[in-house]
Amino acid sequence: MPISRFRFISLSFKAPRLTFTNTSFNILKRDYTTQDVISFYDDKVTKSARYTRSELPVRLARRVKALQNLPFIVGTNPYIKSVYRLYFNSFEAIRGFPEITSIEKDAEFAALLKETVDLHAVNIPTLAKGFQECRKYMNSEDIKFFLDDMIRARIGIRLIAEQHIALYNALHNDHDPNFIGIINTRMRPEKLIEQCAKFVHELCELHYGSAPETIIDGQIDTTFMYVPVHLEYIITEILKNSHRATVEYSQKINRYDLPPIQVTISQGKNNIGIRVRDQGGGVSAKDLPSIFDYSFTTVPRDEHEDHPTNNILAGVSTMAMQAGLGGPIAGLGYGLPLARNYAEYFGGSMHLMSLHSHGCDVFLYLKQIDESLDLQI
Amino acid sequence: MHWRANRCSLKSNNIIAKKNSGSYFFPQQTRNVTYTKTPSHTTVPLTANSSSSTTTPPHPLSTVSITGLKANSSNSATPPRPLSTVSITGLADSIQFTSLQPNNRILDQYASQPVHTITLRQLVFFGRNLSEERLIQSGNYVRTELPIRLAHRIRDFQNLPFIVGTNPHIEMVYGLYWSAFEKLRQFPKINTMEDNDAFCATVKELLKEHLVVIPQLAMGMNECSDHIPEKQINLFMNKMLLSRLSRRVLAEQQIALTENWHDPGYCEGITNDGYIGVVSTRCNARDIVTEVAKMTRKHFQNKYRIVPPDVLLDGEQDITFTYIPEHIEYILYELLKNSIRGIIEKHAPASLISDNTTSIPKSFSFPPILVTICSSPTDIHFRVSDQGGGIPDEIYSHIWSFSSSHKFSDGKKNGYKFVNFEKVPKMAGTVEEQEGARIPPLLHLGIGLPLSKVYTEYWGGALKIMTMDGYGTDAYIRIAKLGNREENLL
Repeated sequence: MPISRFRFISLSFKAPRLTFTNTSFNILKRDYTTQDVISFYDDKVTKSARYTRSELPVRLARRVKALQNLPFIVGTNPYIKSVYRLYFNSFEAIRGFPEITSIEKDAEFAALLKETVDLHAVNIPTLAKGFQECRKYMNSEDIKFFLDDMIRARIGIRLIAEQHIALYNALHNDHDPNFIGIINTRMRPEKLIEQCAKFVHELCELHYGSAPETIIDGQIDTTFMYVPVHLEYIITEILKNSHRATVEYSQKINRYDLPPIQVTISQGKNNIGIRVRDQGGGVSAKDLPSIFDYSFTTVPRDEHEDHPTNNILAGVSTMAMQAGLGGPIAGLGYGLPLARNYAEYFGGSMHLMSLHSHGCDVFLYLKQIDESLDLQI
Repeated sequence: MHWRANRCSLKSNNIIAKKNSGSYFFPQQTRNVTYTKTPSHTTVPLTANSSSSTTTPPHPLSTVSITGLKANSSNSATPPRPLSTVSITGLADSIQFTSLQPNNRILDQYASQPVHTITLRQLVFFGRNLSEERLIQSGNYVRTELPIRLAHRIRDFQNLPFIVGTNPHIEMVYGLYWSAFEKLRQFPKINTMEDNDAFCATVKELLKEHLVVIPQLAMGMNECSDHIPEKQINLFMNKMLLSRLSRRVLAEQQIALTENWHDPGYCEGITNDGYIGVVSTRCNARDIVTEVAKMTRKHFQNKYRIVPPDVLLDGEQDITFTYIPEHIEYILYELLKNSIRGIIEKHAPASLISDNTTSIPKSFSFPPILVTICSSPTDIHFRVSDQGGGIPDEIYSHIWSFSSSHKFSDGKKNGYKFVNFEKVPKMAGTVEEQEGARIPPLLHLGIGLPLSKVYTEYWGGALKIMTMDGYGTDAYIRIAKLGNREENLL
């Protein structure tokens, strides 16, 4: 899409609104009210719908192309093939959608998007399984490059799609005034971390029989503007690692009381910092360079390849873990690199410092998403 | 006689300079004529052979006459010695003009030789079973190694851009290095214990003389920061400091071993308290941290009359290892000073005004500093974790930098980074000099962190700082436990 067309459209609007210029994300005003949502309508068509309808096929087409460029043997793997078909069908569906000229069409479009998003929900675990099987046919650097690309693009596609769905819902139903689509203008990380910690705690207890507590301290009253789903995903992954490490290391050294996991929040001038500190024995120096590699996991192989059918509890817990965000508690080896991609998407970063035979500190730095953030997404 | 010779040589220098270029203020163009000088006031005899080396420093006049030019043109391989405009006008300082052109060739010889690095284990091994023969052997190793390392650094100086090389501070250090190089390379081979004693005495003198190096380099960098890129400054300074550290370690080890040998109460390779030279075989992690914590807290308590934050220890603390305790002490000292200062600044900044005794309630307590110690089979880790408010981004990106080209918006840090070195003429880089009040411990010099990094990386360790702006900072030290890593001289 030529940039000029959108520039023109955005300039012609005086009302504060959410616009996506061709590739950059720009929120012009913080206080987003229903009035503003209504002002979107121009001949009863939301600009957001128009943008989404034109932008998504482009991005989906690129994904299809990337999948087509994989080596043939990898492409014929059933998991990877299914993902490829999904992308192709979604591309056809959205591209073929007629121009949005009425409220009914708008509703249909929103429904189509919702359906698409639901279908693509388990893409990453599927791809993960596929690449695990194709390990020998593609070298790890190429896999890394492909997956980084795929994940970043997927984050963008979901962002645009879900943003539109949320805006549409906000328009037609009651919505939380703090939210612009899926962005929470006043997100409190403390509350979110508490929820994630509770979820992971239950998961851990189910799997291991015991779980450490999570203490949140620091500047807990921090609020900032961010996409809660992203932060939820990142924190859950980090907490999963911490819980698993704490329990397994404590078992190894016969320590009976599990030391708590300490999450500290800070608010600096340019970014928000979240540090997750555990006493799970740390990462050995040998493994440290590969922790951010795809498919690198310290879970022993047989544990996640065969599903034990004679132990009912184990089976249940495995299923429960599968139901969690993005996959089981551990074993696929995608948690950390995926979390880092999410963190870096809006200009943040993630670092891991390890103290051997003591524990790990994971530092997460996030930037506020506001007017001053000028990023390509 | 010598003064007039000087004057004559100066005149002819001027004439030659004018002939070859438009002016003598841009000597890059006057590459055919290089002026050389030594900072010492010794007269160069016009005829006698002053050194035992094979070259005779020629008559000053001849330096800048045809002979000098010829020598210059044959020396096109080496970069020209930076010209000093200061010297031309500073005749009142009675600076001697000698020709170092032949010496530059000697420098080439030394600079082309590789450095023979040593591991901590080798240092300990040599000192453990001392005998006369061993002592002489190690003395000769030091005697040959020091000039090589000095030569490499002198070459680094010569590769600096002209405007940096002529800075008076940098020039002074350059001169010091040259004289040390000359002294050491001309020292005869050590064959007896008396030779060794003489050598140790020489080296001791040099160590004392070179105490001004760090302050001079810092001030020089201060002034030159706008003229060379930051990366170059950092590389240069890191190399300098690493090399300096390595030379001091070798020298001090030799001196300490010699002294131990002469000590009547000393019979084996290890002294009573576990020392082999400057290396201690009984470094205990917990003891070191507790000692350093006590020292730093005492200073803050004395100066500001408040109870400074506690330092709590955590993790597996009872670790004994072999290391040079001075190094770790310095690193922890600097980190703890920074942490305590940060905490006080964040939570009770008013108490940093020295005479303030009444504004802090007695029950006020600062959040403690947590030091975690743990070890892996090959390394020992320390983590210093504080709640001192963190480091803002604009400062964090430059904490390891020796450059002062960025001035901070914060009013406190106006001016240059190493400005306080004007009050500190000599610096060894140890805790002992700060405890002995030769350097005021709470004076912010700006070199604590970069120097600590040099100390950690010297034996193959690492120092990393992660900060949470608004909350606090964590520093991670990793040092080798087994002593089998080679010196890291970049």
